[in-house]
Amino acid sequence: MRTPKTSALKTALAANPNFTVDDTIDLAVKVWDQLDSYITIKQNLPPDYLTPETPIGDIYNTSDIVLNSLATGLSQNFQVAISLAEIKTCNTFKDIAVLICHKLPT
Amino acid sequence: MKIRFIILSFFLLPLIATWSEAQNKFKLEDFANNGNLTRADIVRYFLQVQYPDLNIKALPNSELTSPVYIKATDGAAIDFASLGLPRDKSVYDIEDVREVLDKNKDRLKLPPDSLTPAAPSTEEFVKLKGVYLREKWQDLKTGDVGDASQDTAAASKAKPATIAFTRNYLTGNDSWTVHGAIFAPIQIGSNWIVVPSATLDKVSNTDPKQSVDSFVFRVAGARDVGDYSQFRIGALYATDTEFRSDQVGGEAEWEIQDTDYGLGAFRGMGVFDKKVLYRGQLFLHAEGGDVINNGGNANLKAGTGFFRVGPYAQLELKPGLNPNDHFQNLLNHLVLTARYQDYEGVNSNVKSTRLFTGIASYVLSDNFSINLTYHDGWVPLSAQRERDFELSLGLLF
Repeated sequence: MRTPKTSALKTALAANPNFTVDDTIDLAVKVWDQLDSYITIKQNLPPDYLTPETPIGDIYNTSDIVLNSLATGLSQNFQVAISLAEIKTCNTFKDIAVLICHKLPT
Repeated sequence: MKIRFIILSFFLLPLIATWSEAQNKFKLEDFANNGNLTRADIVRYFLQVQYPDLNIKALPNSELTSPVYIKATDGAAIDFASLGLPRDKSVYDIEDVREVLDKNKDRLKLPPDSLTPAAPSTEEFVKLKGVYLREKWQDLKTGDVGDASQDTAAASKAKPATIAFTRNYLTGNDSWTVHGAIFAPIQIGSNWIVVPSATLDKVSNTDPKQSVDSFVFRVAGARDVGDYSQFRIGALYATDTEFRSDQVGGEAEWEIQDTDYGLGAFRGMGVFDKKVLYRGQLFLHAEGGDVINNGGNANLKAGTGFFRVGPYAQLELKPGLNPNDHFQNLLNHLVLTARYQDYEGVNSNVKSTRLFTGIASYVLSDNFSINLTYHDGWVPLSAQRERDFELSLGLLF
């Protein structure tokens, strides 16, 4: 089952910058579900394999080319600009999810 | 005998409290309401795991989405998302949450004790939170929300105790100054903190009229009132370092704390593009009691009562420059403070104690600082005149 895109929520948050804790949780849940779904399907991983604590290196070769490809894929999927340099600051998938959350409302 | 009794009493409460754990501990049910947890409660629990020294439960919701905490809140919310709890619910039974967390405790590095249901025990009722050396006993918080410009919460931002010493080889005289308090907050139940403390203000001088010698022992209780204020009340015994004077009485204080307005936490000033941070402290103070013995202090009248009331107002300013730039970060360690205490004597025969204090501090580390301090006015309780300019070492533990 496809998870809902975050773009609608992004639009709603842009209209209301004073988002609440519940809004923050809504956004984080949607980002995580979408990220989990994207990586799991793309890499053909078993369900529930991926956790926020999973090191990126456990899934991806951390060469620039591979990480750049990941950054590009995530940028398209979440409709935000994620650079190679930003992906390289992330150690786990939780770090990536936080990075996306941080970018979405702005 | 009297001195021994006072010192013994002062240390009695902390000693009693040592049967319980000295470290902060928390339980999942601390975040529950009537056996239920909302999504925000679970997120707060995860934040508490991440920042065990902070009182996350006391943070208002608006603070969790502030620039200081938002990344940590996002991370905690993602941890929540990864639990797989039903998404169509907003409130969960604590036992269901406990079961899910227990399965994930290794992955999420959760303290196992925090998941164990609290046994009905008196051990957790009284909890020594530590022993602290600070400028004043009211600096109770062991954590602070830190600078608005930083992502993570910094260690305590309380002011340090200060000490300075001068040896005059021409006259053979030594002079020294100490301003500070040692205190041991003890958590009683979930609402009250009892704080035994000893506060020393000492400025030695060859001219006795220019000396300051105030040594005050207190046992006070403090509790938060609503989301934005703290109330403190307690008993005091004021004397000097030679225990010649005696005053007994009580104090009450009501402090407003609202981080949205910089009361209790540094905030960036929009007019300076957040490159200047400010923090305020504001409380109403009342004190009353009897002067049993003036011990040679002409400002005190033995056999009379005293009652004073008035405000304590303090403003601190510091740079909020780029911490990644070496030079700019050096400037970030500078803190300027202006403070005015105006405790007006209500009854006749009582001298009002109005004291202005200006401080320029350079923070060397979490524990040490260099301070240039100016005092002008009358020291609270001892009512001694103080007008001096001192360079001192700041100690904060």
